[in-house]
Formats: sequence, C-alpha cells, structure tokens
Amino acid sequence: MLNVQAISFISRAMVARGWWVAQTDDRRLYPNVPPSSGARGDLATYVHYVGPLLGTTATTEGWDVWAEPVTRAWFAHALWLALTHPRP
Amino acid sequence: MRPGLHRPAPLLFGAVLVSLIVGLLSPGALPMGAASPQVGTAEVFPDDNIWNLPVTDLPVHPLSSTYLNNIGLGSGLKADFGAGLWDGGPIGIPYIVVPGSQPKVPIHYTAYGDESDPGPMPIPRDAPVEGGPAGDGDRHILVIDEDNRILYELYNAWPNPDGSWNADSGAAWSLDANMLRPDGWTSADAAGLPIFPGLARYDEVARGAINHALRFTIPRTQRAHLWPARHDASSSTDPARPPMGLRLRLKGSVNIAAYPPQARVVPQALRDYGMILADNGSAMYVSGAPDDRWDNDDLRTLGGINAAMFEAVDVSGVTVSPDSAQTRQSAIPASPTPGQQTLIVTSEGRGSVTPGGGAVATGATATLTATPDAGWLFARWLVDGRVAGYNPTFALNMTTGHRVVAQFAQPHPYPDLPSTVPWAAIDHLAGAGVIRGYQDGTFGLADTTLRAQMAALIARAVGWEDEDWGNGFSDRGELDAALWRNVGALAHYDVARG
Repeated sequence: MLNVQAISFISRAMVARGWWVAQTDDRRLYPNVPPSSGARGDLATYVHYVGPLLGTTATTEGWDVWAEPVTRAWFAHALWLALTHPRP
Repeated sequence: MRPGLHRPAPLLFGAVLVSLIVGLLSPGALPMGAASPQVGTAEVFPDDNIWNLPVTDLPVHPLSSTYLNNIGLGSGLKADFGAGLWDGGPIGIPYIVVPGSQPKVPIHYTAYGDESDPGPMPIPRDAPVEGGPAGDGDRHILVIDEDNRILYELYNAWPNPDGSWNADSGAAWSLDANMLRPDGWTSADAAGLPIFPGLARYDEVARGAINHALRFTIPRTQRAHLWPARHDASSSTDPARPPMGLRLRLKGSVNIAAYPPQARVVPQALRDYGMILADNGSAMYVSGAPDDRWDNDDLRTLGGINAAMFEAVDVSGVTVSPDSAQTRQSAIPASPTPGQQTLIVTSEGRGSVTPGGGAVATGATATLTATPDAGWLFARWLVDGRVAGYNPTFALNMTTGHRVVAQFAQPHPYPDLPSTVPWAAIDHLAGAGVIRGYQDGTFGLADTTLRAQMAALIARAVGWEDEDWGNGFSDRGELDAALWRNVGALAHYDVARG
C-alpha cells in the first residue's frame, strides 16, 4: 500500500460518509504525482480540506514519497488530520 | 478497604433482614428500570447501561431454541458462589472496595498485554484472589476505587514481592460510563466484558433485589460474539453453539414463589434482567461474590431451574451503538414547546459537555464543546448512535431531536512511541478504538500498512465497522473475518476498488 493510495482511501471514505465533497484534479498540486496513479482527484480532495500533506510544506512542491509504502504512523496521522478537518 | 467477603455484620441480623425484605416481595414486585446498582458509594454503570437493562419486554432471539438445545435443556442452574471454602478458596469471585488514596502498583501483563489497559492500578497487596491465594483457576481480581468510580479487573493475577502484580490480561472501567472495549479485545473475561456488574452480591439480596443482569458460563461456545460482548474464545464456527454475549431470560411462566428467601432473588433477577454469557466454563453456572452469609442449602435449590426454562433474548433493538454499552430505552421525547426539538447529551468516560442538552429551536444549530477531565482525552461524538465527528467542538443542525454522546478515553501508551513526540493522532485514534496495537503491546511506528488493515481503520473511523455488505474480492487468504467484512464495506462504498 502506497502513500498516495492511503490518501485515496481516506478521501473516498470521507466523501462517502458525507463529511467531504469530492474535488476535481488540479495539476498544480504535487505535480510529480502522475495521473496514472489514479489518485489525483482524491489527492485534490484531501488537500482541499486538510492542506499540505504530512512531510511537505506547500501543495505546489513535489511529493517525493508518494509511491513509497505507507507506514502505520504516517497513515494514522493522515487519517487523524482528515477526521479533524470536516467540511466547514 | 472493604472486602466483598467476610463482612463484620452480625449473621443473625443479616438473615432476619433478608427474610423480612424478601418476605415482603411478591412475584413481579421488583421495580422495573430501577436505579443503577451500587457498590460502596459508587453506582455500577449508568441506568441505561446494558447490564442494568430490564429485558422482560424484549423479543425472543430467533435462534433461542437452537442455542438452548445446544446447552442441553436439562442443564440445571448452579450458583457458582456461596459461603465458606471449597478446595481451599472462597466460593465465587471476590471483590474489594478501595478508596481513591489506595496506592497504585505496576501491572505486568504476561499474555494479552496488547488487549489490556496499562497499569498502574490500585491493587492492594492482600487483594482477594478468586480461588484463594494458592488457587490455580482463573484467579480474577476485582477492585473498585469508589472515590474515582473506576473498576479494575485482572485475570490470572499473581502478586510479586515488590507489590506489583502479574496478570494475563486486565481492564479498567469507568463506572460512570457506557464504554466498551475495542471490538475483538478481551478483558479479564472471555467475552471482553466487565465481570463485577454480573455478580450476584449478598448485599443486594439483603436489600431484596438484584437490579442487573448476571454473568454465566457454558462449556461449548461459538467463535462469535453478540453485542455487548467484544471477544470470544472458541475455535468452533458451529452456528448452533451460543455466542459470547448471549442473554438468557428466565421465562415468565416459571413459578419462583416456592424458592427459599435467598435463592428466590436470583431467579427474580433472571426473569427481569436475565444473564449474559461471558466465559467458557461449567454449564449454566451463575456467578456471584463469596460471602459467609450465603445459605448454601438455599442456593442449591436453584438446581431445580434448568435451561428449558430460559429463552434467549434479542437485545439488538436497544443498541445505540455497537461501540457503546448504552441502551436505547426510549425514543427521544418530543419537545412540549412547538417549534423546538429535544437534544439529549450524555458523556462516556470522564469529561464534560457544554452547554448540554435541552430544547433547541427547530432548524437552529446546537454547538457543543467537549472538555476532557485531567488524564483523559476527547475521543469522538456519536449522534443517534453513529460516529459523527472528532473535533471537541461540534455543530449539529436541529431539524429533529437528537441523542448525542461525547466519548472520552484514557490514552493508551505504546512503549515504542518516543515520549518526546506529541503523538496526539495515535492517542486519539486509539482512544476512539480506531487503531489497535500489536500482540506485544507495541504500535509498530515504522511498519508498513496492508490494504486490509487500512480498510479496517477507516471502517472503524467512519462508523462502518459492523456493516456487512459481503465481499466480492477473491483473495481473502487467512484474513480475519472482521477485516474481510471491513474490506467489503469499503468496496460497497466505492472506497476500495480492487
């Protein structure tokens, strides 16, 4: 399971639960994450509600670890940030 | 310290008191939905806790006959408690009440530490052990801190020379709350439930009524559990075997008037509140605390009641949330004032909510703020039994009445998390029962996460944990049934796409 796939799972769950609204892809966000990841829309949704991903300072920079295996600690933090950033 | 056995009260006075009180009771005279049972000065869980719920009006479980046939219809009831000693130890599961000043000592877990609450706990060096100091059975220890209203329970507990204790597993319960353990976790009992609220205690009989469900055992259970149980202890998937958490009720048609005074209070409780299957053991053994004032001859008469006189009860209709022991005892009452809705706010664990419940204008937004007590954290909100949010401040649109529960929890420290880092995310998710550690009690900070594990965490976080939508994937392998169910739920909601 990769970091970007974890973000996908979290975003889709938040949308399915009704706590977020799905956003469309924005190519300016983490431009090194390719469309072939299948997760750019979910990434845009996550960033829309939470802000920059853990380990990054701006959404326009590269996300170097997008394709690395997700650790339990990183996933817990990413999930917690999502749960505490519901739709205003 | 007040032990639950060997009370100093004069035996004659106690016996007369029991006779007087019980003699005044006619069958069915017990108040339904009476106030919570008490121990010392503490109430044993809120009035609406599943242990304190009368079940006389609940429907019969659809598998009632199957389960009772499996137990054996001729199996007689046995009071697994009494006066005196058996095999060198007191008869029953003892408990002790301690003040809040009781020193806390370390607990060293030797088997199920990953599913146990960490010490220290206020276990006195001379705390009574089930089976006696040399007993070789379950060796439960039950301690009630009556000032802080916390119940501590250990399984297979052994004292160490330095005052600490070894135990296979242990759990702490706020007596003010309706919290359950994370699903799949044991406690000091096989069903993952507290033991103390299911004990028949002599002081209750002296007062004339046991106003709670009792705990019981059978030898053959199923690898499954029913709410409020959180854990099971069987390798059998035979659906005819009773699952942990099953609640049996003595049929109303059973004549209990002829039973002697002490014994009669037990079947009355079994008729009104029933008994909850909580462990593997001898068939139809009902648990109680030892006390030298029990009349063992009286209690032996309970053997005339057998499994055929019981029916299994379906408690699913009173479930507020599968993660809470709270019961839905009544619909949200309509506000007497036109244009207003009723907001009911309760807390689980230690903390407060402002401004609390009351009447709110229809369509208005009620903004609630949860503040945990010292040493506790705010875990999450449940609205009408469903997970609704994780922020301490929560806004709720009052187009209709709502029942809100603020869940507070104590942090579950993982030994492998550096204390220098503020692990708020992990603390809170563990407190909410979303994340769980490894068997050895560690969190596994840098370990990678599998898709199924991630699915389970998300399902727990958003309230899909107990939903079963089947699973169309073909690669289950050795995956645990609960995780597989959670994967299926995420597929149903188009979160997991294979």
